[in-house]
Formats: sequence, C-alpha cells, structure tokens
Amino acid sequence: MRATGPSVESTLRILKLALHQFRNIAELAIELNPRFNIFVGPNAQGKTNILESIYLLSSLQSFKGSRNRELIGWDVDEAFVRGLVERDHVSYEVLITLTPAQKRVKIDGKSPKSSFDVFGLVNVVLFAPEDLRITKGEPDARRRFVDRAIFNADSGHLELVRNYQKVLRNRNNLLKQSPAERNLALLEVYDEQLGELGGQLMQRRASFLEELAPHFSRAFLEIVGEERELQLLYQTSGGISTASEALVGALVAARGRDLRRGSTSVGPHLDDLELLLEGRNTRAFASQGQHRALVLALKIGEIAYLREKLGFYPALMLDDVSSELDRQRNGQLMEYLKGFGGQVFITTTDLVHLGIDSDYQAFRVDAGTVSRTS
Amino acid sequence: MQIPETLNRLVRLLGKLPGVGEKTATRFAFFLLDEPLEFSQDLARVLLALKENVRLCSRCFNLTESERCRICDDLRRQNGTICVVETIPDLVAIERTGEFSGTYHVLHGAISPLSGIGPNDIKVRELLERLKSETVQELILATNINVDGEATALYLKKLLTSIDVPVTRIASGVPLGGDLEHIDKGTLGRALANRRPL
Ligand SMILES: Nc1ncnc2c1ncn2[C@@H]1O[C@H](COP(=O)(O)OP(=O)(O)O)[C@@H](O)[C@H]1O
Ligand SMILES: [Mg+2]
Ligand SMILES: [Zn+2]
Repeated sequence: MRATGPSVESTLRILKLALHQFRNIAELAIELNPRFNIFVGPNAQGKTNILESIYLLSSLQSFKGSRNRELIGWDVDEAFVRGLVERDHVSYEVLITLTPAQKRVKIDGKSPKSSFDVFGLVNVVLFAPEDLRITKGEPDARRRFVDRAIFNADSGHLELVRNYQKVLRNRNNLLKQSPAERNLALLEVYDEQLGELGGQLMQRRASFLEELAPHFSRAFLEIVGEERELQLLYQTSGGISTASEALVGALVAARGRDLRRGSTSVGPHLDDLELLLEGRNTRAFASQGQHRALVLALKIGEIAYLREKLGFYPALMLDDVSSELDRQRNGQLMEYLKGFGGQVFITTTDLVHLGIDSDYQAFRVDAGTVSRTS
Repeated sequence: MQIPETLNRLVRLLGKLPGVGEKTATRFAFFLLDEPLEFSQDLARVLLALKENVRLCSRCFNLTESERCRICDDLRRQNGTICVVETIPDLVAIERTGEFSGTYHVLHGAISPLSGIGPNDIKVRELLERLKSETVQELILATNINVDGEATALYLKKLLTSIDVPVTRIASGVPLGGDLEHIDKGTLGRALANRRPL
C-alpha cells in the first residue's frame, strides 16, 4: 500500500492489467488510460474476456457465472489476473490466481483475512447486451441488478444474501421431509431465522431503491428528452411490509401451503421491481427503444448512486453496447460519458461509431493478443 | 526401485491422514524404518490404546479415558453452569481462555437440514436429559456465529422454554487487540450492530 500524491478529487483507476492464460489470452500486460479504454476487434477475439477479467478483480466472480475451469486457458491448469488499482489515492496490487479447484487472492502480496476485504476494492458497473433482461425478463434479473448495485457500495450485502439463501435452502429441505421425520419446532426456528435475514434483505433493497429512484428518473429524462411520469416500485412477495416480523408472520401463515409444495412461497427470493411509465407496467407495454432507454437509465442511476455512496465514480464497462443501442441512444450514451468522471472500458467491433476523440487509448484484440493501436 | 510390500502398505495408510500426500507419506515411512524398534513399538501401542481407551464422556461428550472426562471430574468446576459447544476443538478453545470454570456439553455438530443433520443426529436429547437430572443455573450457548450455529442455538432455546433455566448466547464482535481498520467488514458490522451501553 502506498499513498500517491495529494489530489482533491477522489477516484478509482485501474492503472495496469496483466493476464496469464486467462481464457484465450495467453499473456497480456497493459497500462490503462485513466479515462477511456477501447478494445477493438472482430467477434470472438477476446474483447469480452478482458472485461470479464476486470470484473473478476471486483467480485471474484465471472459475470457469465463461469467456473474456474472455463476461465483458465484450455491447455493449462493455472491462470492469473493482476490489477494495479488506485482507489481513493492509495494503490493496491490485486492478484487472483485461478486453478480448477480454487481462486487465491493476494493484495500487495499478502493473503487477505477474508474475501470481504477484497470485495469493494474495485467497484465496476457493467453494461452488456444481456442487460436488456433487467426490464424485459424474469424477476430474478431485476433482483440480481438490485443486489449487485447494493453490493457495489457495501460488500457486506453479499454475506446477507448468501446467509438468506442458505437458510432458505434449509427451510425448503425441512418442508420436503416426510411428516414422520418432520420437526415442527425446528421449522419454527427456520421461520424466525429466515424472517430475520429476509427482513434485513428487504430493508436494504427498499432503501437502495428509494435512493436510486431520483437518479433513475433524472437519467431517463435526459435520455428521452421529455418529461415522462416514471415510477420505480418495490414489490415484496405477497405485498408484505419489509419488517422481519411481517415476514415471520407470512411464513407462519404460508406453512400449510409450503408443506404441500415443498418450498417457501414468500420472502425476498420472490421480490420484484416494477417500472411504471405513465402508470403502465413497462415489462409488458414498453417498446424496444423504451426498454433500451430504461436499462440505460437504471445503469446511469446506479452509477450516480454509487458515486454518492463511494465518493467517486465506479469504473464503467460497456460490452458491445453500441451494437445493441440505436444511433440516437448511442449518441446520448456517449454524451453522458463525456461528463462521466470515471474510468471507462468499452468493447466494440468498430471504433468510428463511438465518436470518442480524446482522452482515450485504443487496443486491438486479435485472437487473444492485445496491442495498442498507435 | 522395488519397494517391499509392507512399506507400500504403510505409505498407503499414512497417505489417508489429512494433509498428507504420497510424498509426505513416503518420507514418514522411511523415517519410521530408520528409527529404532522401540519407536515403532511405542507408536503401535499408543495407536491401539487410542482406539481402545479413548471415548466420549458419558456426561458432557468431551474426550476421556474413563467414564467421565477430567473437566467433569474436577471438583473445582462449577456444575451449575453448562457451556454448549459444537465440537471438541471449540471446547479446547474456550478452555484455553481460562475464563470459564463451569462444565461443557459437546453437541458434536450443528443442525443443518441441508447436510442431513437434524437434532437427533447431535447430542441434543442427551443435553435435555442432563438438564433434568442436574441443577443448572445458566446454560451458555456457544455454538458458532454462523447460520447453522445460530439455528442450533435458536432451536435449543425453544426446547428449553419448558425447562426453567436462564439461557445466554456468546457475544460476537471485534477481537481483542484488533485494530479496527484491519478487521474484516462482516465482523466489524456485527460488532457495531451488537454494541452495548457503557
Ligand atoms: N478457457 C478458454 N481457453 C481458451 N479460449 C477460450 C476460453 N474460453 C473462451 N475462449 C475463446 O475466447 C473467444 C471468445 O472471446 P470473447 O472475449 O467472448 O470474444 P469477443 O471479442 O467477441 O468479445 C472464443 O474464441 C473462445 O473460444
Ligand atoms: Mg464480446
Ligand atoms: Zn465430561
């Protein structure tokens, strides 16, 4: 850990990235631009893989949900990702070594006490074509968006989500037992435990959404260019309040049904987020263009939220987004990026469409080899 | 080199020990071969005695070589306070603090339906029996501070409402001598949530 020179504005910058046998990238060592980094090349060359490696530094997980074996080059058994990160004027070297069986992390050469010391060091927001699922798809895509955004500002959220899921699986397991082996006192324990954790989870989500709402509305207004009535509604399962007692009550009330189904029918694992445009549910009614604008506004809203929480802009990764957005939305996104103070990583098949002409470094990605273009 | 069959068997057996791979097992085997006969005789005798003599204390389920463990037999220990732990290493850890002068009850696990462990798979019934036959002033639940440990503690508390005995739960939080800045966030967060008036 080393403090760098004094500066007023707090920032997050990934200064260097080195990869070894990560997916199709055998070796890479690049210095990154503090503003725009553009990875250019035809399809299937390794552009998204580079973003995936940066995301790994932030959450130790692949955003594709891939297992270690898939992240390591096909013919070898070990890969690493190394990032030199400057956060809030302190620089850290984060090294993640991947073997098929495990991920090992070192920060400045030392093993951290807990993975929670690694999380939250690098804060990134990813915008990829699949993100259209957030507004168009099933509720789990929206829950993931919400939990990921909360985690980005407060890594402890992950522990809460994991504990909730573990207790949920325990309760479901009990529900599936035969009446003879079933222990009702134990089921009561899991109602209480799930209620307590679920209440905390709902409260975290509710307060995040409350804080996100104004940022989201502002971003949407800027994108569509006219005043539209927009609402972001948190829908708890069964419409219960976010208090732990309310969930415990609902779990007790649902017990008969849950025993018959063998699974838990109420709780934040079934939460949803409803987006209303002029009072109408966008999931069913919005046009393709409106969906794009909504997702973009959610992501920009998330960035604004994180900036407020962290005191600096998170890094932003845009994977192939130009191909997904139409010309107009693309122009608006680039306009937004000029005012965005954070570091940006963009992948594209074609540099010219981007319209970025200063403060950038472009890299050509060609079958896993990466080179600076001038 | 052709390795004699007996040596081979020893390497395979030693290789079953936790953390011991074939390389280390081979090193151990050659070491034993080089040592005087007495060493192997001693080792063999202790191994057999271990299985024949060491068992669980009939009262608290700690390890012992007689009916009851040393802690249960120690007249200076207060019988009225029982500290419930998940495992023997947990008991050893608490003993090391020197802060506890009561007796223990080792559950030998925590409730975890996911792993197929229910109340009947750990020493819960035995604890209830014990509470019926002993006069107990306080039961300290020192199961782990994770979801399974918490569920086990909640379950015990529920069972014990019918028995009139004060139940307490160990506190969790910042370790002593730990600089706040070096403590992981989860622990620090819990310590803040469980703060107490001064
Ligand atoms: N573990 C791996 N080892 C080697 N190559 C891989 C591995 N995983 C993916 N690839 C290759 O990476 C390429 C896809 O890279 P990607 O970053 O998705 O491309 P794009 O440039 O289109 O974003 C494919 O050619 C794929 O075969
Ligand atoms: Mg791609
Ligand atoms: Zn004993």
